[in-house]
Amino acid sequence: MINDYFKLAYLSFKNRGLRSWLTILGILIGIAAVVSLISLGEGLRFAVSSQFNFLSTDILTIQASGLNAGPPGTGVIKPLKDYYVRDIEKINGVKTSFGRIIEDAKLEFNDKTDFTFVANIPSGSKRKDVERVVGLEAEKGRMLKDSDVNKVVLGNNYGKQEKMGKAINLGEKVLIQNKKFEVVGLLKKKGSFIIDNSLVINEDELKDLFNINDTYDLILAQVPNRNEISIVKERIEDYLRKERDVKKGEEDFEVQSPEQNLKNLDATLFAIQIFIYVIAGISLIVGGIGISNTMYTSVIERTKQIGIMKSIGAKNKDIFTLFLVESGLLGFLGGLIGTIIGSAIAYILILIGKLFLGSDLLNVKISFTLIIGALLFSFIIGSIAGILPALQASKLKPVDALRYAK
Amino acid sequence: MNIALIKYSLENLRKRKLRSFLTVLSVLIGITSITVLISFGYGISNYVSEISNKMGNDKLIVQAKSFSFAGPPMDSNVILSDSDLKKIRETNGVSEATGVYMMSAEVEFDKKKKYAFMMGSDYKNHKALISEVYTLTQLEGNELKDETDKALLGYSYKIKDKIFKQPVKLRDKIKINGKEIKVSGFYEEVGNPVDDTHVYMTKEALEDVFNLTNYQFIVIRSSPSENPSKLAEIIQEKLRKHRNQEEGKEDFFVQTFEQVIETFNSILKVITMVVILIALISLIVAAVNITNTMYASILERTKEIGVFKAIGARNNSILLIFVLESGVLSLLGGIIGIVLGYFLSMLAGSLISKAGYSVFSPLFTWSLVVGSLLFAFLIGIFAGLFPAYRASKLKPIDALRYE
Repeated sequence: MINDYFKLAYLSFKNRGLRSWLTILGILIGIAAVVSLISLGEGLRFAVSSQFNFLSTDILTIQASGLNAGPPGTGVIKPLKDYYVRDIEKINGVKTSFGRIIEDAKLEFNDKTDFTFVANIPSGSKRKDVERVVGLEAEKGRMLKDSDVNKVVLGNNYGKQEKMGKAINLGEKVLIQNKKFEVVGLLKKKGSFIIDNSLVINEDELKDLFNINDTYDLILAQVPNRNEISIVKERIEDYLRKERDVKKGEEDFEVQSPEQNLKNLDATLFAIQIFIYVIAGISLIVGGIGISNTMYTSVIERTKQIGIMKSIGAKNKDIFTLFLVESGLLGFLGGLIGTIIGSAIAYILILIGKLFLGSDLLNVKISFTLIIGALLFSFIIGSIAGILPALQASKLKPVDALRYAK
Repeated sequence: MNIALIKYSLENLRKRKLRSFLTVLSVLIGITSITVLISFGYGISNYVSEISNKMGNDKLIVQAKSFSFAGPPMDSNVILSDSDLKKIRETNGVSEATGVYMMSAEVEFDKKKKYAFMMGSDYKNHKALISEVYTLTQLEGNELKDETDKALLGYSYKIKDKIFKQPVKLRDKIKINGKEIKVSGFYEEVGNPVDDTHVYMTKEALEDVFNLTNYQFIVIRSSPSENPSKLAEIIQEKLRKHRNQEEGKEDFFVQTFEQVIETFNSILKVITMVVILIALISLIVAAVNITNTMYASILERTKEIGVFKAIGARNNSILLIFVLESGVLSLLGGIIGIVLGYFLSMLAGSLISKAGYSVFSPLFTWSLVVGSLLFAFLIGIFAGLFPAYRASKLKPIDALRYE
C-alpha cells in the first residue's frame, strides 16, 4: 500500500520533470545555504571559543570587577592583593592557588616590533602548578627555572618565520620592553591565538619590568573535586567579601568557573549565528511556498485523475496521503541534494580561507545532527506545504472532478 | 496592441488567484527582508557620515599600539606624555593639540557601584577641539572648565533603571573611585550603551585627583592650509625621532580621523554586504518559483497560445505577454514587500533604540524604494524569460493539438 503511494509520487514527479526539478531547486538552495552557514558557523564558534578555553575545568578564576576591556586586570579599580593567594590556598577544598599577571608588552627581534601579552610564572613549587593548569609545555628547549635571570619562553608562533621575519631560535636574544632576554624555550602549540602569541617570564622579573608591587590581575584556584566547586566558590567569595569589606550583592570581584567565563562569549557568538541562520532560513520559507504552488498546480492538473481514483473507491484519506507523500518527497529530495551541496560549499570556503589566511584554526563542523536535522526539516517543510493542496484534492467530489475540463 | 497585451496578462493573473498570490508572496518575503536589512545598513552609514561631518576633516589622533584587540588599550605600557604633546604642538601645520586621559572609574550613587570609563580633557584651553572630537553636545547644566570636583555624565545616567535605579540629577553628588564629585551636566545620547555610560571630567581633575600622567590619546587639529594625511606622516616621523625609535618599530600610530572612520566604514560595508547576500538567497528561490509558475501557466495555456498564433500573433507578442506577466507578478511582490519592510524596519528600529542602541536606526531613501521595485521587476522578467521564450517558440499546430 505505502509502496503504491511512492510509486504514484514518482510517476507524477517524472511526468512533470522540469517543474519538479525547479521545485526541488527552490528547497535545495535554501537547505544548501543553511547547511553551509551552520557548519561554517559552528566551526567558527568552536575556533573562537577554543581561543579562550585553555584552562582545565577544575579551576576557579578570581578577578576584581571593572570594565572588561582587554586582558584580565584591565580597568580594575581595586586590584587583587598578592596575599589573597596564600589565604585562598588555605580554604578547604582548594588544592592550590596562584596569581597571574598579564601585561601588554613590546617585543623586538630581527628589527621588527611586536605587541603581545607577557605572563608571569611564579617561583618554587607553584611553577609546576601553573604549567599544569594552563597547560604550558616546552616543545623546544625547556620551561623556566627559579635560577633563570633574563630568560624567556616564547609562544609557539614565534618559532615560525612569518611571525617576526625569521624563526626565533633557542639561545637568541629578544628585547622585551627594551630589556634583553634570552630565549630558552618554545611552548607547544595550543591552537589558541592568545597563548601561541604570548611570552612567559619569571614573576619577579615581570614585576620589575612593569613596576608591579603586590597585586595580581587574576587569581586561579584549583578545586580537584568537581562536586565541591560551587561550595568552594562560596567559601572564596565569603573570604573576599570580608577581606575587601563589601556586603553581599555589592561585590567588587568575581569568582567564576571556566565554563561561566566561556558562556558569555559563547552567547554573543550564538546570537550572531542565529541572526544569520534566520535570514538564510527565510529562503526555506520561500522554497516551501514554491512546493505549495507546485502542488496546487499538480492538483488542478490531475483533477480528472482524482475523480477516476475516487470513483473506483479511493477514500479521501488515500488522496490526501498521495499528495502529501508527493510534496514531502519533493522537500526531502531538495533537502538531500541541498545538504550535499551545502557541505561541499562549506568545505570549499574553508579551503579557500585556509589558503588565504594560512590558518588551520578554521574547520568545518558538520555534525550528524545537522544532517539529520536538515533532512527532517526539509521533509517537514515539504509536508506542511503540501497539506492544504492535498486537503483540497481529497475534498474533491468525484462527479465534479470527472466533469472538470482544463 | 500593447494595452491589450497588458490587459490579457493581468486577466490571467486574476484567473489563477491562488497561484499568483503564492508567487507574489515568495517575492514579497525576499524583498521585505532585503529592504529591512538595507534600510538599517543605510541608517548606520548615514550615522557614520554625520559623525564624520561633525568631526570635520582636519583632525588627527595619536594612539599607542598594543596587543589588546577589544576596547581601548588602557593597560598599554606605551606612554604618551606631555613631552610628546609638546613636540606635536611645535610641529608646523598643527593648529592645536591636546591630550585626553582615560581611566576606568567606579561610580557610586545611591549606595550602588557601577563601572565606567572616565575621560579627562582640557576643557579650559581646547573646548572646541574636544567637543568636535567627541561629537557630543551638552544637554543641560554648566560646562566644565578646570574644576576638579565636577563631572559631566553620559546620557544613560539620566534614565531611570538604566545604570542606577534612580536617575542622577543635576547637582547630585556621586562618588568616583571614592572621591565625592558634583554632577555639573549631561551629554546628549550617543545611542550605544558603552559611550552613554562615560563620565567626563577635566584634565586637571584626572591629574590632581586621580594622579594620571599619561594620555590615552592625543588629538590634533591641523592648520587649514595643511593636508591632514601628510601632517600625519610628518608627526609620525617627529614623534619617532623624539621617542628614539626606528622606522617600522614605532610603538604608536598617527591617523587622521578620516582614516579611522574609513576603516570602520569599510568593515561595516563588508558586514552589510554579507548579510544582504545571504538574504538575497531567498530572492533567488523566489525567482525559481516564478519560473516554475510561468512554466505551469504556459503549459495550461498551450492551446490558447496555439489559437493566438493561428490568428496571426507573432512570437514577440507571445514572449511579451508572458514576460510581462511574470514581471508584474514580481513587481507586485516588490511593492507589498517594500511597504511591509518599511513598517517592519520602523518597528525593529524602535525596539532596538529602546534597548539603548539608537545608533542602529533604519533609513529609507527614494533610491532604496525605487531600487527594490526595479530589482523585483527585473527578477520577474529574468525568471519569466525562459518559459516565455519556450512559449513563443511553440508551433501553432502542435499547440492546438495539445491535450
